[in-house]
Amino acid sequence: MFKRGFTITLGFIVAILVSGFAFAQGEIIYGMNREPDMFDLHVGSSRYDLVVASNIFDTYLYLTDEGELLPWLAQEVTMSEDARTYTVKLRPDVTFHDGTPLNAEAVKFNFDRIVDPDTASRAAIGDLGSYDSSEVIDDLTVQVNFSEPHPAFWFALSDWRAGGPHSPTALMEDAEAFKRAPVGTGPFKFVEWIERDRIVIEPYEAYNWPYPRAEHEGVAKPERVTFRIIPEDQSRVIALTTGEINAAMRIPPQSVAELENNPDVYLLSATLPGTGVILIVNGSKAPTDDPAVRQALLHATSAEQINRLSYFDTHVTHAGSVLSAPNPGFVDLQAMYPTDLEKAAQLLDEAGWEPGPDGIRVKDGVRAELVYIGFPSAETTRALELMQATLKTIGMDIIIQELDSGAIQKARQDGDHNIAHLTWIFKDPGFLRTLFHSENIGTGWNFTHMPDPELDALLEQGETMSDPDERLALYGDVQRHMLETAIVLPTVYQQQINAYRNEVQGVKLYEVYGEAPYFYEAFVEGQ
Amino acid sequence: MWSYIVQRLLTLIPVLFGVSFLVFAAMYIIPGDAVDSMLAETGATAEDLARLRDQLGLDDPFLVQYGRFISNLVRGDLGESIVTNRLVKDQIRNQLPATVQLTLSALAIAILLGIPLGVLSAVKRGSWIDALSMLIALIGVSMPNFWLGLLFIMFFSLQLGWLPAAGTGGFKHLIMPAMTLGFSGIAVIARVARSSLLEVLSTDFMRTARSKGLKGSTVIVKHGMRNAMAAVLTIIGLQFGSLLGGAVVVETVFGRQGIGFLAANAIQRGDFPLVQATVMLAALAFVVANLLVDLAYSLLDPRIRYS
Repeated sequence: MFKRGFTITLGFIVAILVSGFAFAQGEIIYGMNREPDMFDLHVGSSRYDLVVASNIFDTYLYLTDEGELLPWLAQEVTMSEDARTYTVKLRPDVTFHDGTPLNAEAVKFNFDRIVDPDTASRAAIGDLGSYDSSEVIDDLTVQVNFSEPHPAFWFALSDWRAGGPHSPTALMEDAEAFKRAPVGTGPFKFVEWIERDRIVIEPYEAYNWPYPRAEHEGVAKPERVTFRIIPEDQSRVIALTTGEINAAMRIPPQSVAELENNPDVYLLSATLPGTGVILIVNGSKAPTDDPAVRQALLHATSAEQINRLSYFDTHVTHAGSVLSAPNPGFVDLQAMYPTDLEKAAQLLDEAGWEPGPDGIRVKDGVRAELVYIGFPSAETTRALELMQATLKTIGMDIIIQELDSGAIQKARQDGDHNIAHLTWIFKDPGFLRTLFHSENIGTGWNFTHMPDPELDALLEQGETMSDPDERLALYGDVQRHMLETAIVLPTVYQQQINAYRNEVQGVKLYEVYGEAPYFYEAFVEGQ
Repeated sequence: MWSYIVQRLLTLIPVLFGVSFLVFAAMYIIPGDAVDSMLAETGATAEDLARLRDQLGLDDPFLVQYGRFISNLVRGDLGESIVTNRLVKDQIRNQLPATVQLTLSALAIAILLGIPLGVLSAVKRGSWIDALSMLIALIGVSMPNFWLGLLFIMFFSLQLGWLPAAGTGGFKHLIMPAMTLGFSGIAVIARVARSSLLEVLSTDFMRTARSKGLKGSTVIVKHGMRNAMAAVLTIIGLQFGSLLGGAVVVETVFGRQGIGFLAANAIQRGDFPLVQATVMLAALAFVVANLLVDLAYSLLDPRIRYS
């Protein structure tokens, strides 16, 4: 009896061992660290939605890494002098995955739906600004009207949320179901979503309108792409190492060296536009209400050292501005605050900050002690501890408070911090208004808590300026101004680090919207 | 007996009310809400945030929001997730099987390995077997699930390549998560089984049984174990609660589907309809598990009768 049981068990174990991992032919299995919320991009707001959706939807215009806008689903877009009216002319042959054509009616339907209060749009509505109406001119031409000048619409046309057409037929049939089963015009059509496990997409057979820089035409190359949800970093890296998956996003900095030494794996990395990882300095709470303290903080902090010691040199060090290098209008401002501890100490001396009994400086009964508020993350914690140690040498200190996302937001809005963690991904520099205009203090995203009429005026001007070059020059002034007032402390750019097994080739990382890997040209070698 | 069961089930109603109120209050008091978490990192303005809060009714006073929740609940409507707009009942239905599979397997592992380990060390008290099994128990109690899970993955997936590191699927996907979750249970059950059996072994009736000339193993199993099981059963009931808690960590580490993974995400993102439902479900499971344990007492000990 015992023997038989043993044999059966052994047989079972052997069966498990030899069965191996089941891969479909030409299948890319991409490990994600978080599950998307939904694929109705008119409604949703998660970055993770776009990781998958960027392969299901195309956009009217294609934004290149250099910031140039190329025609894609739209053959031609023109803007009126006052930036209130746009004419979008579509290419003629495009169909949605349900076979219905992409025409002027469909474009109008999409824009109208985004601003409809019943849609409860979280993010796409922001892209449309003062949208008023759309008029169908002919089957392939739409005129889009705004009640105020809206130059940022150019970028909205290249963003999947407002600029990636959703099938009106599918939405009218069942808008709730669309959130889980999207219908777009992209190179891949949706197949299935097993909640908290996987999402599967396969090539759309009729596809023949690839993005302008594609290296081939027609149907997408991989036979299938499966997005697996594996939130734990280490588990995801191991699954990639063992070949259980053949691609993975969000490689943690501490695993980069290990994967670089693995001959079966290669890394792809893209620098994301936006603010990068920055610390926002609160200009209304002591001691950072004193400009000398803010400037001393900037002089005492070495972004290069933070990258080396807390990100293990896997990121790109910030060039000192509030924008990242991939943003149009970015200006290198490293020269403004060279790391100089003596200079920092001197600034504090001059402003009357005297060393107290425990070495921390004091002025009018206030200690030079900064409250930091941010998310618990290994990288930022290491960076803050490093800053803490450095600042102590010049008589300053940091109290580190790490909270969950909701609590952080409330604390930052209430101004409980002296320095707060912030990252923001966006291409058009117009997003700076959301982060730094004084109208967004208290309830929005301006955590500097320092009303600055000069900065407000610049940001308002940037929103309505129609000459692209002048507009970008203006954002150069914005960046300089913010460093002069020392309300931001840039550390590193946000880096999207992906890893692939050698057999997976041809994946493009679309840096503009962060996490999006583009699988149209990807293929699995030897299959 | 039946009236007892019905009585116990009726006590569930106030328990669930209490749980829902506490969870709702906690979610309300914690600063920040689902809107903050959803609009993080998008270009939302203060007006966007206000509009969305208004649409979702998040600005209403506490009692209005709670009242709305309860009146929906009574009608069997658990609502929808604020973040994903999925129906909560669909999500629970999709995720529950994986968690039931995981916790029951872990419980089975804990019982099937824990009890023999405890009995063995009680019988061989003071021997190396006793020392070894209590060392295993100590490690089991002290080792965090999270770390043990990663160790298993490194050994069985990375080194040996036998088992998949992550995901939901067949038996292969269950082995490591169930072992990880069950390990601390083995330890706890073994320790309790040992100490309560030791107590029983020194009683008069055990001596009597042996002096009647019964075989050693019969004495231990039929007389000793039966009397020692009451304490073990109690601990199994309590273990069920910690298994549900542990599932949150284990499901995350192994990227498995499940209620725990669902709840952890919901809490992080302030998605309170989902938090409510998952916490109430856990409370329900815990109460029912303990009811089953109480009923099992009467099977073990004929002196216990419920009425």
